[in-house]
Amino acid sequence: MAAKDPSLKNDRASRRDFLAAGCGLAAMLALGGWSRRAGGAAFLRPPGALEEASFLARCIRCDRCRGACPTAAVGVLHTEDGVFAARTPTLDFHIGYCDFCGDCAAVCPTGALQPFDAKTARIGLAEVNDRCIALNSGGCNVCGERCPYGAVSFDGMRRPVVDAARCNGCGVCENACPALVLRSYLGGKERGIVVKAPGEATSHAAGEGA
Amino acid sequence: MRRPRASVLRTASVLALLGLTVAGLATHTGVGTLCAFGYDTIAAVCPLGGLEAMLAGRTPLPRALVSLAGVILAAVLLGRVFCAWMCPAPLLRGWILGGAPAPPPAPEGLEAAAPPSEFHPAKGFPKVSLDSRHVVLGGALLSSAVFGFPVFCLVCPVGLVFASLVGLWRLVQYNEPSWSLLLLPALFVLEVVLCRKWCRKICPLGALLSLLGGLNLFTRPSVAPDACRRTSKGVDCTFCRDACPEGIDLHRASRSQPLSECTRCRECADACPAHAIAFTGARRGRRGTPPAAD
Repeated sequence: MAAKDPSLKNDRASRRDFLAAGCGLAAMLALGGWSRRAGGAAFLRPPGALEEASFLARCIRCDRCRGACPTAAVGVLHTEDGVFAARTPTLDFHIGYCDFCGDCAAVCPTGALQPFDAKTARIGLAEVNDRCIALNSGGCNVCGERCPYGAVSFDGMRRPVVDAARCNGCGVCENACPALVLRSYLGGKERGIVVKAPGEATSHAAGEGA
Repeated sequence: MRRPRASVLRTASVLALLGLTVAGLATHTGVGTLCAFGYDTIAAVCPLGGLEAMLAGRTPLPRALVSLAGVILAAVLLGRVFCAWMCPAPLLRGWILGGAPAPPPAPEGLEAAAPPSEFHPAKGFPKVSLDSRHVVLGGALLSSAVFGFPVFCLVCPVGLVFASLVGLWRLVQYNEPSWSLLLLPALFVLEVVLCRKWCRKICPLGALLSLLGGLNLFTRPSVAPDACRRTSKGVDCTFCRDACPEGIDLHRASRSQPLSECTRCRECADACPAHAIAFTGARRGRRGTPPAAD
């Protein structure tokens, strides 16, 4: 049998190793290039996050920020949010809201989240959409009552209006919004006021607001 | 009292690390995962993840550098101890396959097993052998630098295991179903179980640790020549070599499987019928006298 000859065996083994090395190298480069192309969507990131490209350069998906969040507002993105984004942190205001305590930024081992000033930090901007109870049937002012920054006021028709200068995207309004909380089977889970990531402001909501 | 089998101790060690993550999930303390364990602002960052992040962000990261220094120190003391005692991949592969790990390929030239034994690499043997894993390591670092994010972290089996654990926890705690719960374990199985040689041929983390293993000075496996059946009685005993998952032959220096590949798994010590192997050896000079001869 050919395998009896050590030199032959080594030859074949090294050829297989060479193949494995080539495949591994190509796979690493392909994975990098493909993921990079697939990326580009905007996500809500914990406060203190670097701008998206620098954030993704440093985030090693270690889960520490998510684990450290005392209000459990920091959640995690999944594969359905994109292969590139999967396992990176996001803010899930259905579970908690951000009080800008800074724990997530403190534990981040790679500085993808930087220490921030709670007075000036911004996560995103709240946006009222057509699921809002006040728009549909009136009578609801939960978001305005709960907003700690006085960023939600009501117009003459008792419809909520977000003050972009005061809103820092803390998510208290979205966390408290009763729209679709119990009716999720009627179409999605989105509530009547939703914090949007910077650069994610939906044109259709802006159009409706006008 | 009889010492428990090394495989039991290794299983306990890996489960303890997984348990630490679960404890962190339960208490919301941000303990993290094996990618970065830590308390408050202190963190032990994965050396590969840290290097990738530094290359991708083109900036030195203090905590990653401190962690890297810690890993180097650990390598000097304990070699590639991570692979046997901390990495969950071999353990889970064993569980999924339901038995012993894949037998290692015979080291080169075994057919001509020479009775005289040589404990330490003779002059001219490299401390580290480069193979396909190191090419993958280079590819991971290059790709991270070019595309600007830690590329290997996306598919790292260790990360996949811990991410699956987190996903499972969130499913239970927050009723948060996701495709990740199926896809991440599937990718893990694809990598580590279907590609059984992942650890020996692909894993760039193992490659990095084997490079650092070249710095190793202490706790090397050493054979007591008086007790060893091969050296004391001339029996052609190969229990230690056959047990080694890395294919290291303690009686015969090998170019492809140098002692820097040793993960301190202690399988050889468990397998030795004469209990002649201890992990007390230190590297001595370049010529090397049998370490346990004194």
